[in-house]
Amino acid sequence: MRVDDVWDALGTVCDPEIPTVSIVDLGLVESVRCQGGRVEVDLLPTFTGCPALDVIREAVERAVGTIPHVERVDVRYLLSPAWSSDRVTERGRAALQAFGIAPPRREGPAAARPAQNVACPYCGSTATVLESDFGPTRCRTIYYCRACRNPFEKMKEV
Amino acid sequence: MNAALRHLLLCLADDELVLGHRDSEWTAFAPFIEEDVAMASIAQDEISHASVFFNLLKDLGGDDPDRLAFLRDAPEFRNARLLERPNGDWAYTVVRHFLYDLFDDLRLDALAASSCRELAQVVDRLRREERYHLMHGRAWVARLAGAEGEARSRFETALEAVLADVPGLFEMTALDRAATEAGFFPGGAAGLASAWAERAREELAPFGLAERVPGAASLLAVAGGEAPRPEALGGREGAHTEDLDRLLGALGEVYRSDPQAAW
Repeated sequence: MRVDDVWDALGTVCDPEIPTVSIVDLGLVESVRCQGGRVEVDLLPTFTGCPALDVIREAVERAVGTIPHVERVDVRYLLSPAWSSDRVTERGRAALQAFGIAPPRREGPAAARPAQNVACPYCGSTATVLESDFGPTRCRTIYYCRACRNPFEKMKEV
Repeated sequence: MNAALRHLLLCLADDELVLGHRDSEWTAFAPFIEEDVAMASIAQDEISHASVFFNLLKDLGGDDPDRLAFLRDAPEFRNARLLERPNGDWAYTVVRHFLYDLFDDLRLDALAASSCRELAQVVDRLRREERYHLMHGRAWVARLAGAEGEARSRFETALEAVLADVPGLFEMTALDRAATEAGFFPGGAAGLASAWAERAREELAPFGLAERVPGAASLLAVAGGEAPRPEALGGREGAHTEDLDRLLGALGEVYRSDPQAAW
């Protein structure tokens, strides 16, 4: 068992609400350590107390636990360093878009607001308006596309 | 564990927990659907932040977070009284939240330099979430204070009521002073009064309301008990109003019905 095997396994764990994007591409994985049959995985929560954290922890334990010779998996959530939306990879951004969620701009918490001309994930038009700074989950905001008349969500810059 | 550090973490956790619960009371009653979503989301943020502080307390040798959140009675709570007041109308809710969020932002900024490393480390994480609360509050201040008629007059009434309680945020008990001296909270809450007054005036100036905000000297005189406004004070020592009793009754009702239940 090598660290790379663990990263490969983590690449199969998806956000419980967004089945197209892995936790690796969301930038949740901070570090992986292997020692003998023991694996330690440090994750960064997107938001403190996000209800998905326990689900993700169990999925990580399951996925890493299937690697041969792994005897024990310890998953820790760290509040420092703080997760930032800038940690989402290019692949992750494309996967969010494909799922219908506009990706966050690459400016982290310094992003000027509100995001103007956000491309609609459904039709690509930039004739979009911010409907609400808050959305169905704490990491998302709601936009409306005037071109295809669909509401859509966008990941917050944090 | 260190009594001053425990006190500081309780002040932080209780402020967020109590306000978060008040926010949650708007669920299904906010003026329109987007605000319902916003208030529910903000409530989740505040209660999560309370849980961060409770868990920090536990890691440093303190009590069980669930017991602290659900089983304490009002005299054990350390939140400022401002935060336990009922929500009142939408204007009061907006003004209280925004003026508290300005204070909270300054407080978190000061705590980034805390001598308690574990506390200093969580600040960046929390501020990234709080930024959205400030944006939300600012937008509503502009909507209400920038309007005419009923919206504006309700805003002014709310501002007066909130400002009367604001000195409670700067109250310093013996434990607060000990936490300041130990470097757990550099400068302490009282040290934020002039920066808070400046920021609050800046935010309200475009609406001709800057002069309503008392200066730091006046805030600290009230916070120090020199001015006759005792009803704003006492929260940091556990002296609360019946409003908090009622709030805690609702907050802990389910947990208290079966403290052994597995969730």
